[in-house]
Amino acid sequence: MLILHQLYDGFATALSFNNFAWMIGGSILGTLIGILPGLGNPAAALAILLPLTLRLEPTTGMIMMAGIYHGAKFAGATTAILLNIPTETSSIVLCYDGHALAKKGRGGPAMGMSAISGFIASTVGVFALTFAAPWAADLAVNFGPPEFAMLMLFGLLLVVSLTGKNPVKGLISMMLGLLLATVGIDIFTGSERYTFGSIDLSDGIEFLVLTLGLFAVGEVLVNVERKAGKSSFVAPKRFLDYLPTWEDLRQTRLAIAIGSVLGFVIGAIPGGGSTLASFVSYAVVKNTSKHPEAFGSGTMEGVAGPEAANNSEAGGAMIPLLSLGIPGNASTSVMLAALMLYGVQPGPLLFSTHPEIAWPVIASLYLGTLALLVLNLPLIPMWVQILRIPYWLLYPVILILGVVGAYSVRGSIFDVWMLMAFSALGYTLRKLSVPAAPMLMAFVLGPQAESAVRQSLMLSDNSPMIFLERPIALGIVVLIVVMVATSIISRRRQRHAVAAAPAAN
Amino acid sequence: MSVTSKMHGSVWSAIAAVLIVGGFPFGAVAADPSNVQFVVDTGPGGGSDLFAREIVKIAQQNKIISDNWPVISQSQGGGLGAMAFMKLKAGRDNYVAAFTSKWVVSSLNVPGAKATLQDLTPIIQLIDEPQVIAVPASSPYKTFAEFVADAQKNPGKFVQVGGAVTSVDYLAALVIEQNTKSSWKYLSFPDGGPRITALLRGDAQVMIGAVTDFSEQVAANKLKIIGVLGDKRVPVFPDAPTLKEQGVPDQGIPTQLQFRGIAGPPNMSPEAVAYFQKVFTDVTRTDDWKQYMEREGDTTEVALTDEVKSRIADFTAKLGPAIKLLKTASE
Repeated sequence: MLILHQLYDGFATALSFNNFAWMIGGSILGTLIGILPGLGNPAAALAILLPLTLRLEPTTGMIMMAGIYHGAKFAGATTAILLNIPTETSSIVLCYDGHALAKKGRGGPAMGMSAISGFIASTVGVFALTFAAPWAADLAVNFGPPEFAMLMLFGLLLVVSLTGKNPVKGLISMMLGLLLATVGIDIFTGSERYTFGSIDLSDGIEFLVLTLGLFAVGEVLVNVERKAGKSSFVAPKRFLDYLPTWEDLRQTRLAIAIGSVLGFVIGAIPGGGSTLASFVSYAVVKNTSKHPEAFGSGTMEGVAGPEAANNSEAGGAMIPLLSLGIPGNASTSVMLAALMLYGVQPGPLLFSTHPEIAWPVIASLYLGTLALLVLNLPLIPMWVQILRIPYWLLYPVILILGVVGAYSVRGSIFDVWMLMAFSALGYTLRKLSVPAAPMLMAFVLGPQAESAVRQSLMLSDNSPMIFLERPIALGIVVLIVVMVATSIISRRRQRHAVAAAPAAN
Repeated sequence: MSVTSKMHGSVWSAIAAVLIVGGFPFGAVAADPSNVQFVVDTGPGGGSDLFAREIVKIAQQNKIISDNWPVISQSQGGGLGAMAFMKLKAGRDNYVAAFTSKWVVSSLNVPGAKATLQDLTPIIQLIDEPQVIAVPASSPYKTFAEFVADAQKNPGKFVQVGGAVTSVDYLAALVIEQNTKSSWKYLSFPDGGPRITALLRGDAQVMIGAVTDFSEQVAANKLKIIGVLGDKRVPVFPDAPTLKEQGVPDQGIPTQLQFRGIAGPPNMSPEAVAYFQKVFTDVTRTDDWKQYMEREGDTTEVALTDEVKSRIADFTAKLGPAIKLLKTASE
């Protein structure tokens, strides 16, 4: 019960006027910065505000960072849903159903759902963090390259399952993504792949540049061609129409539950990250839903599931940081940097040597989502008005933000040229009805899969049996087999049902 | 009326004269560089990023500098991007970069590199980061010599975990393997976290890294240190013997394997170099710096331009062969 007592102390500290004020301030700053592509991912927002947070006391500074983190995440959901622009890897999935909902006039409820499901998942995350930390820390240590490889394989298979009506086009998109992901210097052998001697390509293609080109600028090009003059936005009549309904919440119960658990577990794995969490959550929610065919055209579950995973992942990512001193993702890396600059060395002993830092941070992660819920739910109607901006004003703004965002990632004008190239690619793909999202997912998962497989084979002297010998990896393989089997069986059933129907007539 | 306006006129001219004369920076001749940008080769949270931020923080707290020096990340190519960036700023006085020995390795590894450390103006070396050898606490090896003996009997069986194949810990390992006619595998992870978990999990038996990579895990009795590269023991781990003391042949490994220093763009003015040398030397004299060194387990090694150039040349000469080994090993 000492843990509960410490958690209580943590909340008490986080709720002090000073800390609470800085947390709200951080959330607002994080939201504002997070809206901008290029700066929008939480790690970048945290890095930019690092000099400011460092001037504060360690506890207050970390609490402010937790606020910034959540603010940036919420902003990422906003741009994905309203503008179809993912500012960070974990909001790509939201572009699917979230933006479809916005086009149907339900953008407000989608944003509200993302905030609410995020809040619920955060609660789950904090409790799991408090009580399941030792178990999760064990998992984090035991998750090695073979386990990672199988998890990535699972993720890539899920990409295939999401390709929709035309699997061939989806696969083309995925293969393109894998190809683009190989560009760069290979860390295992030091050899250059597709860099054409250019130093700008030696670190590979920046994810954000690819995303902005394919989604933001590419979409602008397509829409300009259609000469869409008026906004197709349908304005809801009452304030409550801007928020999700009770029916929505009821339908998404399972999705939120699945997302929360998956997000936490994947977040606890160093290198797991919110991209994988949100993506796996979306795929699992789709495959377990009663109406899988509705996904992609605007379902609330398609927003609730990934956002829940996104938020409970924050709690999960804290576990390797606070218990092992190992950052789980880019944002916790920056928090680790902040801790070290404060002179606090995070490690296995952090909870015992500096509980006054560890517990308020955990409490503030939770309070951060609460603050966002309270601050942003009433502002959703305002955010949704963005959709009303006529295209002739909105698109130039998106173009400017896109170019500035692409440049700001590395301060490189080369990235802006890449943005142009990818915009052309995005436009072409749209015209050919090739979905862009599998390319992005493969781009993110591919390199991790390749690294993990190579590391595993190196450990096992090139024997593939390593993937079956280790218990966790074997568990994931079983999961993959089950998933493939169920999808084949359900396809067969559907085909039989379709074939039987005319016969019955 | 005309008298007062004449007076007004002379008062104004007097004021103007004072302002002009007083405004001219006659005191600071070539004015101290302003709007200084600190370039690093990692993203936020990386080693060089933290190093730069710590220096700026100490300098501000001790009033050595009065403005903020923003940290700019140029993380392409493990130093190559930062070097190319600095080369573009030739002649400018307000850019400084935090270099490490990785920059030398990266330029040697990529033959057509547009910019190398030799192109830049070395200002000062600040730190030597001792590299230590860690194993899991439950490992049977008490010294690195025991590990090497086991590796000689079982070539290619054991695993060392570390960063990219161009990192100094791999190159040092290659040199030791050559000297002792043993061999073991190298497992690469781009981030530090998975390296530690690989060691804890038992996927890897040994890891070479900086003191801060391991200090917390050692304090929690999860890892132990069985050797130190170089010729001096490390105060944080007083019981860990050096490779020389253990009798492991380490010739070919530079005595300062992982160093950190500051470089300026090509053709930096001598006044600017002197200014930065003073700033950074003042930083190393503060108490905050001493505490930072203790925390990191590093030693302060201040060396100025010419000395730095000769150390870099020494490093290049010693590790050049190892990098060639690396190329043949990967083919």
